[in-house]
Formats: sequence, structure tokens, C-alpha cells
Amino acid sequence: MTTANQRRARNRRRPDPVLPRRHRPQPVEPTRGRLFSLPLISAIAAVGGALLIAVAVITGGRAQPAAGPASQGAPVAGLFAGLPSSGYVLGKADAPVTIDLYEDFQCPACRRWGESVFPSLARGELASGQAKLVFHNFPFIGPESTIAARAAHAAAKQGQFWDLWSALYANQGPENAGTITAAKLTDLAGALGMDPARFASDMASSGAGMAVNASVADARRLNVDSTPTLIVGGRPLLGASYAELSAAIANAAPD
Amino acid sequence: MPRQTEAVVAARNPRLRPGLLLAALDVVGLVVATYLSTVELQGELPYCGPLHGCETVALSEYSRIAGVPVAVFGVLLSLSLLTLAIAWIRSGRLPLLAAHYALSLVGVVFEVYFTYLEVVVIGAMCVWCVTYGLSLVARFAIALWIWVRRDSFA
Repeated sequence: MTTANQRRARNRRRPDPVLPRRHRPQPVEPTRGRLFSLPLISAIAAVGGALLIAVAVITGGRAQPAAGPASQGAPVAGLFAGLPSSGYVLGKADAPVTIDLYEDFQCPACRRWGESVFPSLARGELASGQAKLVFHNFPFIGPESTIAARAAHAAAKQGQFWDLWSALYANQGPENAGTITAAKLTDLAGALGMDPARFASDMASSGAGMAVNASVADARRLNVDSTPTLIVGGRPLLGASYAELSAAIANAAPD
Repeated sequence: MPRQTEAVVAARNPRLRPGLLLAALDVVGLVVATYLSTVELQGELPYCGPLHGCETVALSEYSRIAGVPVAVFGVLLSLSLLTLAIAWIRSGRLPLLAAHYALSLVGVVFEVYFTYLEVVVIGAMCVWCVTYGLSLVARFAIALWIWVRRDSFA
């Protein structure tokens, strides 16, 4: 009794004499095929997969401690004391002048605005009730901007948006370099006194995505193409200094 | 006589049917990974419909390797596998089949790890990732089956 392999081997040795040579079945690299043994290939592939996992763990999946709001200082945080806030609005709700602020949390110029202009505005027009500041998400720098914008939405739902605003700028890192992740933001929210589970859920919700998209669409409708963009009483502010902002507020105020 | 023509073609190239099945699954994986990559690189979140796990998975820090979205690696993998499948159909060279088998196994190993992350660490499942993972397991299984019966496809 012959096995299939023996029959196959015999056929290889005795090609069909009837068929012309060019029509005979050509063995496709039978000897080279044997060089590739299944266990060897599998072992190499498994090692490759393990290496990929190792890279993922080292560079992406490693949990990093979240930067706390006070790790680099939060110079503007104390300015919020005594200022009413609701959602994205800072200042008295019935203030006569509205300052619309469009920002991306990865934007360095926005951080500088928060350090240089915002303190004077908070102590001046916001504290006196002359104006209120309304924040708008305009994430355009990259994926981490969108994650931060979603976090802003989640923080606003817990009434602590301005705490997060201050903490994010105080701990701003390089753009799209892993500084802003959902896990770190959730830890940060917990450190700021928010409910981390609710924060994480709100951040991941489709409502957050729709709110951010609506904010971006609104900004584009108003021809906002850079950050920070300030619109005072419905008019875009051209200058960047506190003096120019203060003058614009005075001009927009009803007589 | 299209049926006869088909039969003749299949008889001339026995790799055609299994190879096309592999290629079709590679295309499925490529489409899924391309969608996820595009969405991720634009800073958006994948559409999940009534299932909300995609957003949570996409927002997690595990969705990137060295700053590059995991889905981009999926695109590269599927593109490589598709190229290998087509090349194997045309030439029948065993190293191409071996490479397809090995690469799909690399993907399956990583997919097992990623599924563990989804279930245990992140606590959410992304239906797009599951679809890609299933297509990858099928590609691996078919490549293995072809390899075991490789003499039939020579």
C-alpha cells in the first residue's frame, strides 16, 4: 500500500511522456518550500508580534502620572476667586459686554494670553461686572486638541471648566506629543475635585463630539482662523494687549 | 460559457480561489483601517452608532504607538498582506505565502493584546477594531490552511 506522498514522488520522477515538455506540470519550488517550516515561521512571527507589543507598552500604553494643576504652578487660578462662572462663561451673566474667546488648548499663544492679558482682565472688567468672558473650543492643531476640547465640555458639565482651562495651560506641553490623553485628563479632573467617572463618560460621549463640532462650525462661520481670537461685543479684536482689549470693551459698552 | 471559462481558469491556476479570498479579506481590513486612520488623524472620533465603545477606545492612550495611531499600522499591514496575496496568486512562490502567513500572525498576536486592553484595561470594545481583528484571524487561518495544503496549489 503506497501513501499519497510516495505516489506523488514517483510521479515527479516519471513525467508523463505523452505531454510535450512545455505542458508538463511544473513543480513550484518544492525544495525551497521545505526550507520554510511552519514552526520556524510561527516562532519568528510571534517574536515580531511580541516586539510590537513591547514597543506599544513602552511608548503608548505606559500609564504616566498626570500632571497636577499645581505641578508648574497655576498663576491665574487664584484670579477666579469671587468671579461667578457657569459653563463656559466667566463673570456676571448680565454683564453688558460679552468677550468671546476662541482657543485651542495646545496653542502656545493662548497660554501666553492667559498669563499676560487674562489676569488684568479678571481683576478689571470681569470683577467689576463690565464684561463677561465666554470660551469657545476651536481645536485645529491636532488630535490632542480635540481630546482637550472634549475634556472642556466634560468639565463645563460639572461647573469646573475654568479650573481645567487654567490647569491645562499651566501644564501645556509640546503639540501632539502625548501630553494630552483621556487618562491623564481624567486624573487631572479628579485632582481638581471633579467626579472622574462622570468626567470620562462625558468626555467620550457623542454629545461632547457634537458640541465640539458645533463650536468649530460656529467659529468658521465667523471666519475665525487662528487662536486666540477675541470678539468683543460682536467685533473681532485686532490687537493682543490688555490695553487694546480694555479699550474695545469700553467702546462696546452701552452709554 | 462563463462557467466553463471560470473552471478552466481555476484549473490553470489553483491558487486563484483561495488567493482571492485572502485578497478580499485584506481589502476588508484595509477599508476598516483606512477609515479609522483618517478619522484619527483628523482628530475626530469613529462613528459607532448605538455602540459607544469606539469613542472610549479612540480616546484612550492605547490607541497610539509612538504617537502614531494603531490604525495606521493596520493600513500598512493590510496593504502588505494584499500585495503578498496578489503576488502569490500570480507566481505561486512559497516565500510570498509564508510572508503572508507570518505577517498575519504578527497581527493576530497584537490583536490578542489589543483585545485584552479593550476588555480589561479600557473597559470598552470598538466594533471597528473587532471587525478588523476578525478579518485578521480569518486571513491567518486561511493562510495556514493554504500552507498545510500547499502542494495542491502548486
